[in-house]
Amino acid sequence: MDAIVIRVLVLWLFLHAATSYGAQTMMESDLPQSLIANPVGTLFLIVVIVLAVRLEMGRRSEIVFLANLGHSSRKIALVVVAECLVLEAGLRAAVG
Amino acid sequence: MTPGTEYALRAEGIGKSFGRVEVLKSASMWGESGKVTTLLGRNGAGKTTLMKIAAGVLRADYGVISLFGDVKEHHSLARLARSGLMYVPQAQLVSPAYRVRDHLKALATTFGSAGIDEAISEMGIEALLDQTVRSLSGGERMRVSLALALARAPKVLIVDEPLVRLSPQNQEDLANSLRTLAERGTAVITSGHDARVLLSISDAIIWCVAGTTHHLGTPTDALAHSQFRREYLGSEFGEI
Repeated sequence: MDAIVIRVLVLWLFLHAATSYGAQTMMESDLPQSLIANPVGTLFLIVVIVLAVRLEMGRRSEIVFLANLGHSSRKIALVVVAECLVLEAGLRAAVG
Repeated sequence: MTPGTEYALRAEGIGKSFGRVEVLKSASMWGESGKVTTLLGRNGAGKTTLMKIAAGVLRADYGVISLFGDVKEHHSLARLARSGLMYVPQAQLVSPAYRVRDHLKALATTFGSAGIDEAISEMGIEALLDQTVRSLSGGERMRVSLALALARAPKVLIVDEPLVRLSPQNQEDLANSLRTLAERGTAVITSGHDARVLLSISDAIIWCVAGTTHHLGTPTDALAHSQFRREYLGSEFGEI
């Protein structure tokens, strides 16, 4: 599960950097405001992260092993969503 | 099935289709604590599908699964694992990206570390602990998987074709490990084509044929079953 938490963090940082760059280029938005996505954008970002983590777990044959430890796909998805929400809240608090 | 026997795991009247292909029709499987039950059958007979359904990896179209008498309506592997079941798939249980030690640590975090040192020693995987699973051979990966099972000491172990691609000596060693687990109280359910080795460690044989199952009894009963010998074992198969 630690590996999944790190994976989510890396993906979240990468996607935020990408969307921030896009916002600066396309919408002439400046840092740090460009780091904050609107609610729909945030939701989309979280869905992409959940799907990416699920795909990566399948690729690494982790799903059955984690299920044998009692961690269902639903529980893992909830952990991913919760981590994303914590990171989003932290970012918004930092940006102000 | 013997009336009055309390089975650790029962999968009864299981049906499953993939599109138009009916893979299982009213197939049944059960495992008893302290015993080894082996599913034998030709490729495509439905053994893996039946095991996956019993383990909660696939959902049946119809049928009933019960674990220690508790009927599980919407069971997933994660939920069954929390009730004491462990599933070792045919492909592999362990993840190529991680070291053997990482898997054992993850198991210890969830279920405690009692039994891990003994399992490592019993399966002879001390030298493999710091290697990534990717660097291991198929046989070594299966030894690691069974070490995890020994350490976990589940109430029910479903292990699909554990002896495939192993040398005869490794087959015998791994089969003995399954026997050891059963003697410690686990209900072991396994499958494969290595009939001679599997028959020598089994208490009950289930023959899968054309999507359904026939419970043949003990290995001695199975060997005495003329249709089973003729259609699966072959005329050259001697005694065990």
